[in-house]
Amino acid sequence: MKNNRMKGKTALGILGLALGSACAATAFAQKDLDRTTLPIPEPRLPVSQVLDARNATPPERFEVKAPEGTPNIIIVLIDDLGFAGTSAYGGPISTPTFDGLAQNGLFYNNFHTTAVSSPTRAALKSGRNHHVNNMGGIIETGTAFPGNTGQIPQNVAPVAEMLRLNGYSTAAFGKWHETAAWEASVSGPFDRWPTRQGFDKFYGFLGGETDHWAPSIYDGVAPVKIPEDPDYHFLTDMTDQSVAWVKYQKAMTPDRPFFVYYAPGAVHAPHHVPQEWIDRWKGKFDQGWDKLREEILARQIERGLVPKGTELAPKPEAIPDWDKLTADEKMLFTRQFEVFAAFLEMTDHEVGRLIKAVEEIGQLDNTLIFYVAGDNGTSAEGGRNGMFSEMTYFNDVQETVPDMLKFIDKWGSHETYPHMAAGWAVALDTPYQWTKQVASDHGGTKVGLAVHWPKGIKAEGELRTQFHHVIDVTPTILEAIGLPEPKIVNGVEQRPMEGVSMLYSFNDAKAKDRHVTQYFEMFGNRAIYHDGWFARTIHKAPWESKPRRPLDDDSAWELYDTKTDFSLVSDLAAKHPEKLKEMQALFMKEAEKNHALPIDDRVFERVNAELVGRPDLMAGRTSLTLGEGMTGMTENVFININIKNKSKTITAEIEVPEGTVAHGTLIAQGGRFGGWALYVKDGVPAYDYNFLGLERTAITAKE
Amino acid sequence: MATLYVNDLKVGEGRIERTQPMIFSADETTDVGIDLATPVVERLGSGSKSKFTGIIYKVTVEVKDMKKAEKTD
Repeated sequence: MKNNRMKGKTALGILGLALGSACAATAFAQKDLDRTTLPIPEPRLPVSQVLDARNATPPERFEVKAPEGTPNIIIVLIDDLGFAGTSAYGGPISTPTFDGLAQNGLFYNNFHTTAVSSPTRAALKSGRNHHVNNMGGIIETGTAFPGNTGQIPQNVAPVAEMLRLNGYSTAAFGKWHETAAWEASVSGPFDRWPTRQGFDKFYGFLGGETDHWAPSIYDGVAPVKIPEDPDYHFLTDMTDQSVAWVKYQKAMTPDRPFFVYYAPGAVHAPHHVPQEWIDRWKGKFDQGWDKLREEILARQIERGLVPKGTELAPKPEAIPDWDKLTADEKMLFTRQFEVFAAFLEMTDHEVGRLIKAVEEIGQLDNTLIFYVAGDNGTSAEGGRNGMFSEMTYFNDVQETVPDMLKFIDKWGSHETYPHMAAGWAVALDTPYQWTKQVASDHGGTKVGLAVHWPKGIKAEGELRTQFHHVIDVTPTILEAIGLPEPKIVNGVEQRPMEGVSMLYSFNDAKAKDRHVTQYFEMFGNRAIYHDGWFARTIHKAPWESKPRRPLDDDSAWELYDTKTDFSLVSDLAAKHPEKLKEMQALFMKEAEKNHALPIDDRVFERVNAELVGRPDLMAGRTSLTLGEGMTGMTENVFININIKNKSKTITAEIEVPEGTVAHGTLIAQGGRFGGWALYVKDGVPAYDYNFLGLERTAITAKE
Repeated sequence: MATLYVNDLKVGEGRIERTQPMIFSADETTDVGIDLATPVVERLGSGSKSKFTGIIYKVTVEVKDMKKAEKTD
């Protein structure tokens, strides 16, 4: 025994020596890598002419690693929250995670989005303007025109792909909203799904919003079966997933940095949140939205976030005066906002769990965190009175206050799909006039931003006033890591980023602005910023059914000097007509350069694929044959049987095994808040039509 | 008007007063053999409760434009 063991040891010893000398030149020299072409090509290796491995030396092993000491990156992106959304920015709802990061890092008071979801998301992750990403509007409104197809091109590879090909592990959690509408089916193509847009891991939903009690989730490209648990909530689930992933990744490869994109569907409608969170906000908003705006502005000025002397922009005419509302209206509206507040507080809490996990594994100091508190201004899509179900808005059905009061105690629960009165949205965009969708006002585009990176940012709790935009985040990440902007990605020549790195401002509060010019455009609402000047035209309010005037009518442009007029209240158009003309010409130049032309303000037509030339999987087909296991078809891909009031025939060929009673769904579309189903209950066939969750009709077989 | 048939035999009929002109949902889906996420039919439920117990060979959905006259009957 002893002899054998010793023999073994000796043999191993010799092996060890041999390997030692052979491995003298090991890992590929990282500094010699040319990172401007991604993926970095493997070197061609020569053949060996040596017979015995013991006499040969292996070549250097090729591996792409991120540069030494490189930070992890986290982007947190909240949905539908405007400038006054966080407590740090004067808002009435507590957001301690955001506040904490701002207090230990930087916060920006001049940071802009595109005014709407998919465009902001594509712009944020690519460093290019939204039209350059073909994302002039949300994916559901794609047209045949470049700039607005909704299909991200190959020449704007996003930061996730850049980092992945540079040695990062990458993961996305939550909302995506960047896959072209017709590509979200089993057939793909999957090029614009998260796992082919640079993310190793994806856990979330593809569309613009989701029921947080019963979401439609994918893990990579596989649908997830959600646990049938009444307490299940998607925010908790996505956070559990992100915490687990971060800890696991670091445990396995401590020297490999990660990039996490954490994008909750909150606080977009439906506002779904557990009762215990809602109870915390009872009675906290009884003062109403007019008083609330004043309170918020006072806090903003006191903290130096907003210059002294800033005036509140007048609220839009369509927003009623709070003190003129009826008692019922006040009761309903305060309840709606209490639920929204709970949703936001819970969201910020969940973000906190992810940050805490990063701290627990010792990574907080060297993680560059961008907490972007909104992808656009707060949403006024709830209309004057809010909604029990947001689907009524999409189907042009008005809900009345008495109708909604029936649901007041259930607001925010499984039984509602709610949105809030628009007056609250205006309040959370204080000191501005407008809201989400209105790209021509800072109320639509400006959001809070906290940047936290103890290793790279010396300042603690400092304000930055430099003008910046979501397209600046990716260039900042690249500069912070020390990576070049790639010229070729996956064989395709890349369009240079329009974004400007924000790094120069990290350790210099007084640094001169570097992002000098920016166009804004969304469904005809358009504006141009240049060196402090801001020219704009309000083309359509979110609640108006059509544009106010044709696109070639330039009679309603306004001009502002943002350096002295933070809230855009003093229109200087009459005083400086030459400046306005100059700005309008600059807008056209920027719009053209960025594929924003032609401008497409056909808001309602754009929902109809056929009308605007968007691919439709069901085009020209009047019949579809499906089978077992075919589930998860979203309305973008399933045959459009509700538009233009078509009549339909559903035929199911089934077999009921001898001695059993047939029971269950044959085919169903939609759910609690609208849809239809052909089914069998305890042996009796039936067809149900659920009109918006308000009216249900059942046609059951007799006998 | 909605008419229900089993093996070409009419077994039920009813009128649906209002139908939705636009979308049913931003995230709910069309599913064969089961109703995922929230239930269309509350008394049937969703998820595993709503799974069909037999065998589905196929389901065919056909659409045609409605004749204007049908709207008034």
